[in-house]
Formats: sequence, structure tokens, C-alpha cells
Amino acid sequence: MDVKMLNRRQVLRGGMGVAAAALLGACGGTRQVVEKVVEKTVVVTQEVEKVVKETVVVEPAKTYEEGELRVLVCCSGPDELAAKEEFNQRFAAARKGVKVTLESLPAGQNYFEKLQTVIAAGTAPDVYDMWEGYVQPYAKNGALMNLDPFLEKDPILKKSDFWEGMLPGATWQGNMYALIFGVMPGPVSIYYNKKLLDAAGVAYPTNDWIWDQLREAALALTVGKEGEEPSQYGLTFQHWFVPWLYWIWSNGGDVFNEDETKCTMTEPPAYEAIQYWADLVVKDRVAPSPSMQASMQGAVNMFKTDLVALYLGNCWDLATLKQAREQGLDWGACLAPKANNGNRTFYLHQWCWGIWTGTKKPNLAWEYVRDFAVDEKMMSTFNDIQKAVPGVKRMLYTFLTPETEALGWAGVVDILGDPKKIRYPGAGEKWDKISTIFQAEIDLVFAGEKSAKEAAEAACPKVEEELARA
Amino acid sequence: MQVAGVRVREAAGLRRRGLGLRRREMVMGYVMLSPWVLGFLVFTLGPMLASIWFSFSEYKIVQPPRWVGLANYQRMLSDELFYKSLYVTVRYAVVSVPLGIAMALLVAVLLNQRIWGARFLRTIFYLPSVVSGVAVSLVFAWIFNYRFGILNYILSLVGVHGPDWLGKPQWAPWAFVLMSLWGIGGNMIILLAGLQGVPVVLHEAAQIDGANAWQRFWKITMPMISPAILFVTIMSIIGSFQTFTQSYIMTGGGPAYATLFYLLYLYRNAFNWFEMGYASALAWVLFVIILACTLLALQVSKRRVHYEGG
Repeated sequence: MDVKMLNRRQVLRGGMGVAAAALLGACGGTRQVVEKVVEKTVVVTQEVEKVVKETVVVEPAKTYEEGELRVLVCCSGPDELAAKEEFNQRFAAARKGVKVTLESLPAGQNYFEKLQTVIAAGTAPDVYDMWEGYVQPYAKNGALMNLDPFLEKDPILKKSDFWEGMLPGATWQGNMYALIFGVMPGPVSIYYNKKLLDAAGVAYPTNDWIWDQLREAALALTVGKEGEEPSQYGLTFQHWFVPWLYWIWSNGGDVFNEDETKCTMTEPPAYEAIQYWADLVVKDRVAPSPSMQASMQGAVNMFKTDLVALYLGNCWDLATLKQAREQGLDWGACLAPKANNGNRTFYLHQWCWGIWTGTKKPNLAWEYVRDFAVDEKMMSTFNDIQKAVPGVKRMLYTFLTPETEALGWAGVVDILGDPKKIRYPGAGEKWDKISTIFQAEIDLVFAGEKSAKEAAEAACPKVEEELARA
Repeated sequence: MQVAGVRVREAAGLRRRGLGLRRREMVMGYVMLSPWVLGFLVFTLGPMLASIWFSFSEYKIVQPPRWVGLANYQRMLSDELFYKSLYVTVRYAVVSVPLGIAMALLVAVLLNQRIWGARFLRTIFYLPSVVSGVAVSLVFAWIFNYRFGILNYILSLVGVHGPDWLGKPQWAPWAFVLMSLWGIGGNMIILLAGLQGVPVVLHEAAQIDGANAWQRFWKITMPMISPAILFVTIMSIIGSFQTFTQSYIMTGGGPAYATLFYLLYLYRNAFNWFEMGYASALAWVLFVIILACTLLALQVSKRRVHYEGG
């Protein structure tokens, strides 16, 4: 590029021009400030005080954090998910700057394995589904927020609003770590096939039946030749810890002592209860063995297909049984029977919300779980689907419908109010392994390979070792 | 001299270009390897190192790990379920591996014949080994069904009352051994390739010398395919020690721990019982066991396996 250089003459001309401009600017056009008096006529209007009423909207002090609230649920069907989404929209609409995102995992997708993983990764949702067996381990390991401070200062919900019998499943070291919105005893019902009972001339069971009456009915309802598998069983039940806890507790026994240091399955009330029910399979042959039941695709399926007349079942079986009713299965239900000593103690199933300790919106999360538990529309829908009693006592009316009356479940309310009638086994995070140890031995009892006493004697040392482990 | 100098300079220039080319090729090689190397570091080596750390820690997943030294390994020594699961797994391996290889070899020998449809049959025999483990487990749960399963039905046709395969502790492990034969297709293909690599002239020479079919098989075929047999043996041992899906889906480890395979017990500790630290220790013990078995197989193979070319 060629740069044109200024010659000396051009520089001098330019400099003279700049100097002239500066001189002119300095000399010419200077303003002169002159004071001038101006006379002007001013009309003064009368001053009037005017009261102005103004409506001012005073925003209440915000009790929650704004932003997105993530909620993780497990095992909800389409109807339940739709109801929860509708609740979430109402919840968010009532709070400025809040959005609720619902994340769902279908049943059978290892929900708790996934939950552990996201907690370990630090990406857990703010609020998540909890069940009774997981509250204590998660609370102990710092994954659940202590709700007692919220309950103490909240004007809408207090700890005394919950059924006393259900608190052990949601507390750890005396504090509540999960907010219960649904609870049900387990196994709650005897479902009975009316057609098969009528054909055998057996009276329908009632809430006052005891085990011996159930056994007699099962004997009368079993159809089959000697030495062969029955073509129709009198009774069936599931083979996991919920039924055998109900048997043991109802019979006056227990799995551990009060301070959870000693296994008490070797005491007669405990192993005799197991033996009683095992004899229904092994000696009386009125109930299918676990493997036979598995080959028939489970206890509920056997009941639905007229292969069994009586089924000791759970509240969540109701949905599938209602469908079966529409397809022609005529059935009824009542509470599970009392033990021969007149006692009846159930296992405590709970539906709860947990708040992650790492949440950035603890107050919003609290308001969510609280509002969920006391929302009439949500609780009515949830109870209609799951048939669970609301965790909050004053919401009981959403459960007491003609349908639950017909199922004999009005009596459930008395059970929930008494901690002796509904229990949680304890042992915190060790329960899962301990129940596996017991189950392995109990499987052998129901296979006829050993007695309940022998099974208890084999299991107890391993259980005590597990209890003693830090 | 000038010509020589030019030649020297030219040679030096060529060497410089050669080095540059070699270096470029080397760099390009590493660049091409890098995705795998990165993946190995991030998804294999990294987790392995973390697992070693966890094995010396009490780690409940939802809480950070806490160093406890050898406590997890010491606990194993008195853990009855550890021994039980190890026994179940070793017994399964001892039976299913030789049986599976024998069956695979038998099928491979049959398919090595010049028969119509051999290629089609090879595909048919191989296909089961590529089917998902979960799907296979669900189907076999039905096959072994005590009342409605096809296996007991077939047995009833010959007057045998089939056992409760998955419901009795005495029968459940054997059900899994039988089920393992479903997947012989992979080994069959490898052994078939080995069989097809045996030079025909050896058989012809042996025939001329008066050797019968069995002698030719035992003295010629088996030594010639011994490297392939070694390979499938080692891979089968490793696979059998890693059995998990079948027991998880079909029996859950029951009845009465009869099918509590080692890996299932490890999984339970890790994800059901908040014992990830102990589970990590179990994993490293399994690694040592598999490594020991592999080294033993390699040691035994020195006398038994014949490689062409010495």
C-alpha cells in the first residue's frame, strides 16, 4: 500500500488552519449572563386535600423457593400418573414461579436401585416415592430430610395428624423422615370365590373368622383325588415375608426381641405359626406349594381362574380382581382372619414421600408433600386406585366408601389406630437380608423338607450374626 | 565427490522424510486408538480402580465411602452365604463347562460332514447363543414348569414323572446345567472352524496306515483342534463364573439358596443390602478365582495343546 507523505508545505498549512480555528473559538461567541426580572401573573388555585383510595395487593411472604421441583414416582399406572400430573398442575398454578416435573418408573424396573444411583451421583429428584422398608436405611444414610422441623411449625399438618400405628415405618431415631400419604395392613383380605363356596355349601368368611375356621373351609373347598394334585385348592397365599410376619405376630410371636439383638423365631409362638400354615400345604394339601403356585403364574392368577376358592391377598390385588369381576368372576372379601388366640396383627405397608437432603428447595418440597397428603381430590383418586387408607387421619372420609365397606375394610381403621395391631419388623437396612435368610429356611418348610422349628433353629444364628454386625 | 555429496544429501533428505512419515503414521495410529483407549480408561480401568478402593471401604452408595481396611475381606471368611454361593457357582462350572464343550464338539463334528443343509443347520445351532439372556430365562421358566412345562410333558410320554425342576433344591441346579446347553452355538462355531483347519492329508495318511475313525479322531483331530478347545474352555470357565441373569429371573437364588450364584449374591449385597463395599471385595475375589482358573488351564495346556509350527 502506498502511503502518501505530507510535505512540509501541507503540514504548515494545516497547522495554521487549526490555530486559526482555536483562536476564533476562544474569542468569538462568548455568552454573557444577564439577570433579568420578569413579572408574570400566576393564578393560584385553592389547595384541596383529596383522599385517594388505592387498592394495593400485598403479596404474602413467600414460604417456598421458586423454580423446578422434580418428583420421582414408582410403579404408578396410567390413571394414577394422570391424577398426579393434574395435582402437580394445580400445585404449580397456586405458586408463582414454580414448575413441577414428574418422573416415573414403571413397576419391575428396579426403582430403588435407580434411586440409590441418582443419589450417589448427586442428581436425585427433590421428592421421591418411599416405601416403609426403605425409610430407615435411607434416613440412617443421610438421604432423607428430617421432617419434624417442618411438622412443628407447619399450620396445616402436625405429627399428631397421622395414625399412631403407622409412625414406626416412617421414623428413625424418633424423627419422621417420610411423609405418609397411604397405608394399608398386609395381607389385608381374604378374597373368596362365591361360586365355588356356594357349590361346596361353605359359608362366606367374615371379619371375625379365626384360622381354624379358614382351615375348615379350605378343607371343604379342596377338590381332588388322593395322591394327586387337587384340581381345585381351598386356599392360597403368597410366599414372602408379609404373610409370615402376620402369622407370627398374630400368634403372639416375633422375629427379634425388643432391642433387636436376639432372634426369637425359635420360640413356640413364632415357629408354631409357620408350621400351622405350612401344614395347610404339606399335610392337609389344601394350599398349593410355592413351586406349584409359581407354575400357575401366582396366587392371584390361581384365584382369578377358579383354581382356588380362598385367597389371602393384598389391597393392590383389587385392581386386577375388579377386572376379573367384569369378566364374570363373582367374588367377595373380608378382613384376613384372626389367629386362634383371637389376635390379628398385620404388617404395615406404606406409601410415603421422601425429601432428598440435597434439595435446593426444601420448603417447596415440604409444601408439595404436605399438600399432596391433604388434597381431597388427589387422595380420593389415589385411594380409589390403590385402596390405601390416607396417612392423615382427617382424610379418612376419602377411604370410607361403599366399596371399602363392602370389602370389610371399615375395620381397618381400628387396626391403624392401635400400634399392637399393625407393625413394622424393624432392623432398619438389615431387614432385607434378614428376611432373605428366614425365607430360604421357610421355603424348605413349605417344601416339606424340614419342620418350622428346625428352620428357625437354622436361621436364627445367621440372623443374630447379621443383627450384631455394625 | 560432488556426486557423492549430492547422494549423501539426498539420502539424508530421504531419511528425514522417512522419519517424518513414520512419526506421522505412529501419531495417526495413536489417534485412531484413542477412542478405545479413552473408553477403556473411563469405563473400564477407572471403575476398576474405584472398585479396589471401595473394597477397602464401607460404602452404602448413598453415603461417601469410609475406609475400613481389610474388614470386608475378613468378613468374607466367616460369611456362610459367601461359601454357599461359591459352592453353587463352582459346582455349576465343573459340570456345565465340560458338558457344554463336549456337546459343542459333538455338534461341530456332525456339522463338519458333507451333508445337505449343513450351512443352514450351523445357523440354527448358532442362533440361540445370540438371544437375550432375559428372554431365554423367561422361556426356560416355562419349559421347566412343573405342571405345564414341555420338558415334563415329554418325560411323561415315556412314563417318567418329571420333577419340580425349579421348586426343589435338589433339582434346580441341574435345571440350570441343562439350560446352559442352549448356548453351545458359540463354542460350536469356533470348534467347527478348528475342525475345518485340520489338513485332510493327515487323515488320508492315517487311513493308509490302517487307523480307524476313532483313532484318527483321537490322535489327529483332537490334537489339531486343541488350541480351539483351550480357548473355548477358558471362555466357558469365565462365563460360568459370571452366571447371573438366569438365577435372577427364574429363581431369585432359591429355593433355599440352591441357585444363589456368586454374582447374584454380589448384586444383592451391592444394590439391595447397602453393602457396595463388601460387594466390591466379592468382585475382586471372583477376579482372583477366575484368574487362577485361567492360569491353571494355561499351565495344563502346555502339555496338552499342540500348536502348528512348534
